[in-house]
Amino acid sequence: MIVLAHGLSGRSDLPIPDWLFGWAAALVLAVSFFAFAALWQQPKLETARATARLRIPVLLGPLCGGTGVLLFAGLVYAGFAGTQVESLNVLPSFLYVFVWSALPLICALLGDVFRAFNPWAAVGRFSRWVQRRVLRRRPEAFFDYPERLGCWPAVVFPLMFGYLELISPHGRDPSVLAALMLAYAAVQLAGMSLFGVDRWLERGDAFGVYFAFFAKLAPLTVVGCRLATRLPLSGLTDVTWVHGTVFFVCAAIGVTAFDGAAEGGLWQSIAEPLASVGSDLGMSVVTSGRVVETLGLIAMVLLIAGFYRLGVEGMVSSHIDKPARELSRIFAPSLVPIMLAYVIAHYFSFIAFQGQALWPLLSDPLGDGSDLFGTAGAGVDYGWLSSAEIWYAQVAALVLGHAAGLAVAHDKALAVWGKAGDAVRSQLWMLVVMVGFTNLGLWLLSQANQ
Amino acid sequence: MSTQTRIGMALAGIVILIAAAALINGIAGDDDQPQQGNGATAATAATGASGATEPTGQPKSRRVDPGPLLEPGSVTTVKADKGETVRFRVRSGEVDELHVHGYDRTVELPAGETVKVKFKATLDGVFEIELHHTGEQIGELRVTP
Repeated sequence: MIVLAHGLSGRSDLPIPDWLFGWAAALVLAVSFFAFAALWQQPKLETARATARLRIPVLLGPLCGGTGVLLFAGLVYAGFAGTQVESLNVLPSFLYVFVWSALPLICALLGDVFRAFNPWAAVGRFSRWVQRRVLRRRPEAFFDYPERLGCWPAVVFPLMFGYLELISPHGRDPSVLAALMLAYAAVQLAGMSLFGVDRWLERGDAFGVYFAFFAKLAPLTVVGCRLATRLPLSGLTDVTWVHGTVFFVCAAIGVTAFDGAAEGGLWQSIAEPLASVGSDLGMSVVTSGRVVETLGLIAMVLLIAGFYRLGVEGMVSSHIDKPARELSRIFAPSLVPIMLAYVIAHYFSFIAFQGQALWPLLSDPLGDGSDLFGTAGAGVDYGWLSSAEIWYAQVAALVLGHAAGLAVAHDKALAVWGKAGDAVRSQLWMLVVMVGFTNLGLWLLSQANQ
Repeated sequence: MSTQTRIGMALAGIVILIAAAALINGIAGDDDQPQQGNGATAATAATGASGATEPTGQPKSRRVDPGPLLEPGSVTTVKADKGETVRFRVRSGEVDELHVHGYDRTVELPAGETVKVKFKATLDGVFEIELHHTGEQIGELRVTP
């Protein structure tokens, strides 16, 4: 048996029971029909504008950036100098629990927090400022960013992170993580100096691109140097979709989905015979297991991308007067709420329980017995949420994500076609895609740790 | 979309919900009997996944089953309902320490001896049972609400 467990989590989820699965699936269908009946007749999200509220102090930006750089340096130091026991070093928990699992949710509520603290972006902006103000010369990119590349440099990343998190045996080794952080930051600095700071951050900084998607859902944003409020979801209308952006979203959904599927019985029953084929070919059991998991991860990403593409092809087949690529980009924003829903459904209990472990870890980041903030002795309370409460939160995330996705697609269709028949026909296909994704998410929950 | 279509769609949504309620109640109704059975199988599992043949599986039977035996080399599932007493046995070839995650229970294991473990299942969820020194997972505790 292939044991895939979050080495960091003390408590894992029970699969959602059949009755809840049934209710949730029915609720999804009912929500869909209500959506068609009750949604607005004029585009709302497309026309919504952010309202500037508060002036942000000029110094706040550099201050946050500096904090980000210090935090980054501290984490890398902890990774190298601290204990190599994954659960006693602050780095693995901070990275997987806070950054990877909780930050998407935080960005979706509060706006692009990551952008404010992004350490490599802070270094890039600082060096630009030095060139302009101190050296009195105009910072120029060495090359124009080749637009043909779109955001493909960033797309590789979800797959690599997925491999690191779910498959690699070293994915939680503090020193390995610290080395990878340095490598990633080095690539970002090189990219920014070659292609210009802002252009590279938009195209090649996978972390930045990833969190920016969630921030588009948020009711808060920054306009100029003012904090602004806006209609939730309306930020999705100003995402620029270039080559690879749609695939980036599908890859992110696919990685989370694979994490869920890998715990389930179906995947185990597929993986075991495949792995034994691998060992018959002369690979060691461990290697063939890893090869099979990597293939599974890629297959899941392709499945998600393929299913979305199928919906788009469906629209083309019902004589909607747009090319497939354009349709794919028009409706891609509706995948972003689904992406968030998958993250919450999958990592909710991980955040709720393992998030508590961050307090003692921050007090004793190296695992050497120090107690910086007096919280080193704090334990994890595994009892504050019952399984039933976790189930309801997971299902609620998926159903709400589904409703939000439909609303975004609906608004987009109205903006593009008005009330014409094309809008309704495109909507029917999007409905198929959304119901598919939501039910896949529910099914994954029903398979958890089975 | 015309108003009529909209009303139709809304009605379709309501019909789906009602149908689902009826269907799920039906399933739940079917489930009711096995559910007691379920409790019984879970209890049996708690008291003996290693093929114990206790027919009743009532928690308060006179002879208490010591539960499944956990050994290095395999991952054994220990099942229990919340509130029940979990019982299992552990044997390790070398001196080690047993650790039940979540419950944060540790038990000293002398080399080659079978040690009985029992505690009340107060938390639901899935928890790892591992040997501290080797770090090997030898069991999984599943507590259903």
